[in-house]
Amino acid sequence: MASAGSGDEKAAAAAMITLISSDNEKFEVTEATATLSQTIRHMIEDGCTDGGVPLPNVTSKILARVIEYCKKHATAAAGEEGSSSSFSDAAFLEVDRAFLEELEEFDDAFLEVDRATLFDLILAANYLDIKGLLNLTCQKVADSVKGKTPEQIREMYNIVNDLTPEEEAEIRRETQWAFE
Amino acid sequence: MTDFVQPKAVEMAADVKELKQEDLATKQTDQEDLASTKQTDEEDWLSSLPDDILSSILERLQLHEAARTSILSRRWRYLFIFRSQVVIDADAFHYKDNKSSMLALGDLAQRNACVVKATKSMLAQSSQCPISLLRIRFHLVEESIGIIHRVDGALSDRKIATVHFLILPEGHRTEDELVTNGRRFMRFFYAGPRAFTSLSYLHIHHLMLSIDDVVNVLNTCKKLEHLIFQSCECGFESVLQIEHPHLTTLVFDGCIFGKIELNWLPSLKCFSYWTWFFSQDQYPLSLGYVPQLSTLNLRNQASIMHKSIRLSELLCNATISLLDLDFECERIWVEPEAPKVFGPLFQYLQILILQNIHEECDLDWTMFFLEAAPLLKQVSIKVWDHACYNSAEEWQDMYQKGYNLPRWEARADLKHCNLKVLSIKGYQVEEKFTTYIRRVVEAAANLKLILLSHSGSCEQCEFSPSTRYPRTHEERLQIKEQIEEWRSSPLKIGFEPLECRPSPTK
Repeated sequence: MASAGSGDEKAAAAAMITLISSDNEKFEVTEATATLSQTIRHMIEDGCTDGGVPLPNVTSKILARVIEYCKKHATAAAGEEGSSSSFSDAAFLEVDRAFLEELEEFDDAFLEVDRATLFDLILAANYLDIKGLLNLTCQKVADSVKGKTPEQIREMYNIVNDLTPEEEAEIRRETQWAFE
Repeated sequence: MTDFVQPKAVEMAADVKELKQEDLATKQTDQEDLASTKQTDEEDWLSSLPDDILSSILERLQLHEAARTSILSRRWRYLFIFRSQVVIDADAFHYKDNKSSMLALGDLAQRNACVVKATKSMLAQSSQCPISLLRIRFHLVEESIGIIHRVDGALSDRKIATVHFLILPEGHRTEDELVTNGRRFMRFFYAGPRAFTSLSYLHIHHLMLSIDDVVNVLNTCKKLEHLIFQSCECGFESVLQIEHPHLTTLVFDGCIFGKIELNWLPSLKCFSYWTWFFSQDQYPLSLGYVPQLSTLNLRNQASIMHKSIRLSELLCNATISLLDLDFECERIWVEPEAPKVFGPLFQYLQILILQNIHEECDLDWTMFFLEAAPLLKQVSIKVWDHACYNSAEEWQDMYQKGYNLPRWEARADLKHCNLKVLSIKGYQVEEKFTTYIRRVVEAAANLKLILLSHSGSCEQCEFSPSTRYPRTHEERLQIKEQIEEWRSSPLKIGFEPLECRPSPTK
């Protein structure tokens, strides 16, 4: 990012981007927040963000949540840079630890959503290419099926088993090692 | 909508019931109608996600867990196969009772059979999707030859960027078992030339090999970057000369070699030599052309039969930036040397770690590092004096902690500009520590942080020494004030959190 002088930094911090949700709601965010999305970063680099960035795949409800995530993590990224330059050797210092813990708590609380929202967040993170958010949400789903039997997973997610008994027997034979 | 944070089946069922009742109230009680309403309300969100996201979710599960989802529905059947990282680990295939540390041979064979089947299944697929990492941890039993064959075959028709083998021993108690292991390993090696040529990581255990075998492996495994020998033996007299273009990490842990000569390793960055056999007239190691070697870890429980090491002679012309020496609570096997002997040898040294210095030994001798290494940024010392295992009595005489205690008289006017952190684990309120800290504080003008921590407890037996670690605010304040008296510029002093250990009653 451009950060030659303090003037530049201020300008970068002040640069605002308008994001427009599928239901036409407008959100003003800083460039630092918006560029956590690789998709938007590329649009900014290509200079096509004047007049706002339309995001036809994301509803205002989900976009608000995504922005909440990006704001928090954009500040976190800035804070990390500051602390590591001042003292890299003592990464285990209390300040850094507290900082990381706070971020973890934020992420945990952020994931306390109903299932429909979680999947919308996954799709939005995928579309906007926000690596951290995609990781976080996919991990949540992975954790939810960890240690579960196929029957339990089907029940949890309303997955309809459309395999014939023959097919099922064949799959079990092929992946017998996974069931032992 | 059902709440995602309540995965319990019971709660889910309750929600379903509620929904049903609502449906019943507003709609007809027609069975078909009910079923269709239910379906739209409780859509199968998960299966509707794009393939790449589902595969990425499955990649976060261990392979066998991911593979179990193949039976969920037709949609899921092949999703688990598209993994860029295929990690097959014998230890992942454990049974309900995974607490017992000693596994019966039958279990081992069964688990290993799963590894063989999983390898076949993952590599047999006609799928041509490239694999970035194929990492297999298996046992050195006859059946495992199937793994070698399969990997060897897959490498000819599929793009696999990185291959790791971690080969666990079957038996490792007797010399015969080590010989058998060694022979079997070499048979595997000759059975899969393509597999071994592609390896970038190899960890082998408990093998008796000849020097020729080892050289053969090194010559064939041209792509190796990480090589770990654990408890491998070539005999007390053996001299292993190593030349390899790509190795970056090389570890010898508890092996028996006469001498290891790192003759030509242009990419080597990190070398660890843990435990070497005694010799009174030669060093266990020699460094040849190792221009990138920056991390050196040496650990040994030295007897009086071990030759003391002069680092100026051992390191020759290597430019180390991290030096980690572990004395395992026995004799200190390095000799302090004058800075002029080192010349520019330590000019890149930034981090120094000295572990398990026994309690009889003072710390002043370590000052010679400060004198010789002007760029040193961090010194970490651990004082610890508990060996969990008892050496047999006939060997007791061989380990004399007081034998050749290192002595070093630091220059009184020593000034060091770069040291920032001094960390002492196993700190106690004791003259030895006070003197040492004072010396360092007075010499290191830019020291920013001193960390004084408790020794902790033994990892094996949980033995925790009753040391005089300062546990009250008052004690700590006193220590801080004392240290601050020795210098004018600000200095941060850190202790263990107070609540960690019960403070003594007043």
